[in-house]
Amino acid sequence: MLSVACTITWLVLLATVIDGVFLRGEDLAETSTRLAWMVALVVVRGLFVWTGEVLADRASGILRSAIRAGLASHLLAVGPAGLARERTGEIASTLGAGVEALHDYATRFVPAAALVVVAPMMVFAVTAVLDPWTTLVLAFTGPMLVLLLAVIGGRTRALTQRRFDELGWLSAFYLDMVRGLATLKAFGRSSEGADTIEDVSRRFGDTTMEVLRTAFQTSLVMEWAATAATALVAVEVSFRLVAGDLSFGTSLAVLVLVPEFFVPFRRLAVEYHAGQSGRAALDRIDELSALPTMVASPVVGPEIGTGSGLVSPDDGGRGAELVLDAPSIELDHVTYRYPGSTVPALDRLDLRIAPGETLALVGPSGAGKSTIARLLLRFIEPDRGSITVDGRPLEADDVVRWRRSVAWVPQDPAIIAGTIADNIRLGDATASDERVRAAAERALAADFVDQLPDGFDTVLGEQGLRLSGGQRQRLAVARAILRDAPVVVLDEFTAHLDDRTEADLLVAIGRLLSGRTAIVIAHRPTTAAMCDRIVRLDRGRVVGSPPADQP
Amino acid sequence: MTITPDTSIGPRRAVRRIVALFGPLRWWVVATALLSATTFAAGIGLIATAGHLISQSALVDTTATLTLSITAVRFFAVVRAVGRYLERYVGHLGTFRILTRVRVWFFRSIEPLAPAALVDERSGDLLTRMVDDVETLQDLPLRVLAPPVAAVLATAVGVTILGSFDRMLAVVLAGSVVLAGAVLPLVTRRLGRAAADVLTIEQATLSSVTVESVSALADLVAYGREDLLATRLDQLTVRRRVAERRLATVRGLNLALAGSIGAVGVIATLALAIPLVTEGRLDGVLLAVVPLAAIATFEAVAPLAQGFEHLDRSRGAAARLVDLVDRTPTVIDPTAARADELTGAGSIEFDHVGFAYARDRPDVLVDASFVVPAGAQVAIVGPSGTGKSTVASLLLRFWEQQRGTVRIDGIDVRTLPAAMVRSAVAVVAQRDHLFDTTVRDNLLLGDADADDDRIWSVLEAVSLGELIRSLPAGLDERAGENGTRFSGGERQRLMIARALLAESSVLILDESTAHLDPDTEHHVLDGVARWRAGRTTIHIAHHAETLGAPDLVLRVDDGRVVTVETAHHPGD
Repeated sequence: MLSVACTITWLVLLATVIDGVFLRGEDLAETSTRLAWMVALVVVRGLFVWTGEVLADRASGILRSAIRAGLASHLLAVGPAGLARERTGEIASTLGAGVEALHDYATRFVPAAALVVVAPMMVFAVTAVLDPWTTLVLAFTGPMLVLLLAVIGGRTRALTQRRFDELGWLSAFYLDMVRGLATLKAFGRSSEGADTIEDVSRRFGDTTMEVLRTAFQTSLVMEWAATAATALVAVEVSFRLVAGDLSFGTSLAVLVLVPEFFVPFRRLAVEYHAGQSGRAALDRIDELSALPTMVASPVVGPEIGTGSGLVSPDDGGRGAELVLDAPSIELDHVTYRYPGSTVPALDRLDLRIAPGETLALVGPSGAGKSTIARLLLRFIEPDRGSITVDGRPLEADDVVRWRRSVAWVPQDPAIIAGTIADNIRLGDATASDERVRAAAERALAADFVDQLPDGFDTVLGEQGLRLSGGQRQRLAVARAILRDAPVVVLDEFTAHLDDRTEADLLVAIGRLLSGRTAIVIAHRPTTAAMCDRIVRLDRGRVVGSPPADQP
Repeated sequence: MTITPDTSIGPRRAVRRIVALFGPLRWWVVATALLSATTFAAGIGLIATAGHLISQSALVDTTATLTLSITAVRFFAVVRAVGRYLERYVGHLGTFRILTRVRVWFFRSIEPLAPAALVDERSGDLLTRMVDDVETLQDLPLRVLAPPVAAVLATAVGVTILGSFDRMLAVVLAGSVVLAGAVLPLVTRRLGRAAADVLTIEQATLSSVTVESVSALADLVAYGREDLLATRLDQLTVRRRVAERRLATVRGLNLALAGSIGAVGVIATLALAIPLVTEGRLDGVLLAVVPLAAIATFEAVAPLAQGFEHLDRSRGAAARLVDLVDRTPTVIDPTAARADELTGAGSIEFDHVGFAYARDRPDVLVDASFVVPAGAQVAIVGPSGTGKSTVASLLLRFWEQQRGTVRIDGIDVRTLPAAMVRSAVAVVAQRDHLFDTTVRDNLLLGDADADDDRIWSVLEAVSLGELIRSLPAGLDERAGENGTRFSGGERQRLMIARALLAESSVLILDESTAHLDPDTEHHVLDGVARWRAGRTTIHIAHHAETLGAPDLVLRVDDGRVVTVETAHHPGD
């Protein structure tokens, strides 16, 4: 805004210099002070522009950090159960690229949009002082322009939006085709694929032409208004000059100021795309923020953050309430329905697990096995009914404290970027190297780890080594063993294991389960067989306990 | 020229290769540049004649003498507005057509390479990145190629006008244009390059870190390590911010200096013109024209400030794409295709086959020999990573073995056109793709002529009939991006159905029932067995027991087919 003021002053000075030389016969020496002032203004404006850019960048940095942190803590509050339906990739891209898209939005589009409101008003005010008649032209074209843009915009915005959507669709279509290239090739259809791309693009091009023509009407109107106003002012002013109503200096000042009136509009049009993608990103962020929180999940904050940033699962609060011995767990008439689903995932389910007992849950997918696991991990809370641990209601316990007494082995364990030791230490952040190694040995993971060049210090993740399914799962078991928790929730791995790996894993799991109260979601008869008791579920209810009914 | 690791061809040459693709469409770019130049020139004309008009008006006392100037003002106004509209229209349409051409070129070029050369060692998202690169190239015509041409032409107009008054004026204008339009962008590019490179790398890290953090969310929550999420995201931001701050400083400097150089150039021309007027060498009426024409000239130079940013991005994208396209395909079709057709019986023979994915990688198959008689039901089992899936890849001729011979119906597959082999062998692979189109279209890929009756019966065979019928649009339901409309198990069954429709003489199911619960798996395998009765069907699995009673079990271990167990014979 300050730089706009500089520009306006600069242009007015320019007019007076020309006026002075042309009509008053001043020479270079007489005008030199004004010329020097103009140079000074250029420097000052440059400084304003520069600091403006830097400040906008700072603001955008703070803004993005805040939004991302807010979104992350909301996702944690939503919890794994609430996110299961959403796509990981989509959430990740909103959290990553989506938030980044706000950078251009904040540093380019927002300033441009603000300038459209302010800058023309400033030009308007200055011309009003210089020449009220010209102001009338601007007063007329300004609102006219806004009005015209609104009218055309109203008509073409939908079209423009559609065009952007369709262009987006075309890119998505292309990506889809390229991703499916191997499949097309396997079916001997890849050359048809190329033809389809060409064909769809051509058909699409015909409609695009139509849409483009209308979409650019906006820019036509804008250009037209800007040039017409300049031409109109030039002619109008010159007529009044001839009539002697106006001084030359004022007329020239007015003439050079008129284009400035339209500059912000054009700049906004240039940043239109940044605005579009920024707004789309904001929409996606809003969507994610609107996801209902499933459970009172701890949000990273002062109450557990303890300032250091890293929370050890063992520091503080290993109080009397912490379950230490294998407890009994009882589900009493538990009902749970996922938001948006019509049928309950669990329907008045009763289940009792004795202290130290290993219970296998079997049944078709959708029977409610995973829901029981989620309830025990308190990713969700029951709609009705109660879960008690050693006779004490589960919800009375603090979520964080309760989770410390549960070791979870998910079906598809996640690997966090870091070393193998880091990944095992997820079970206990303070564990010594010896304990990490011991846990890996019990989980039969130490063998393959030792074969890696860096052993336990091997870096995993996107930039590092990738483990096979069986190796990942043994790491997850090692993690759970290190946790040394009285309760184990284990979701058995369904696939991608060969017989030998599976045999190893069964031994490891057996070691993990002994002496603990455990729920095992079993997919294979061999696993179920090693449990104390098997419960068959169907449609959220217990339908039988096949072989051994009593432990 | 951001990150272009081990490119065999320079980024400049790569861009030239892409531009060569434009073919006749390059005239669209030329037209855009010319229209753009005309628009800028008209802008110069408009403001210069307007200034002249006002100056004249100050001297005369009748409007009659001004007619010519007024007409000129109007003329330039019309040319400018129409020119701008045409420029945008022609430019966008041309870009659109060029992009189509580049897309088709890229698709056709990588077709012979797929999937062997396109499997990335690290990131599975290589394809997405390549497609992004293709899209980046749309900046090439409008933001890289056209603006400099337009700027040079427009500057020529401005310089000519000023030159007609005095040579020094022209020199000063041309000098400051070069400074603002060429020197400054080059300097800022150099200052910002390191930071821009960091950001490009961070861009990739950003997506991998967020994907990993979000997929690890459940584990982190369960183990009470929610703090790790925030920590990781913070680390990410810190590194980005350093680079961003540097870029913002450079960008601010660029913007500020570009404006300042322009403004100082205008002041300089004015300061030069003033003595000319006082000395009577320049008519005072024309004085206003000098700075106004200069201001308008700088308008054409402004787009060049961002030009290098786009050029660098296009170069990086072009280099990556051309580098990929130039790779030699791993499998080359025989030049002289054999005339003898496959019998369609579906017998397979691996004769001492040895294979490694690359010269420096360990052998996946060492010395694999086995025979699958026509019509057999076969299970291939063995530990992961031992080459079970490789058997399918070699049969499809996605890869080529280094040693030994692979035969279908007794004919060496290397002597057959790949298309013929692929019509004889259908594979449901783990990385297969469902297209974001209707269920019907996805299935028709197996057999373009299948009618709805056949589609329904194949859906019944994979136990999907009930599900598809329950969908609002039935067969016309869209599968979504990567088939996400459906669960993992449903996707697998759709892919199996698609392969069944192909009615190939050999069908290979590569762990295609892995995501199914035992009951469903049983039903699906039953359906497949009925559909494929009497034709060769190969199941690749970790467990032999899920497959019931195959005719033949091939156990792959350590790159060899160690045991060939005959379980039972059909008709027992």
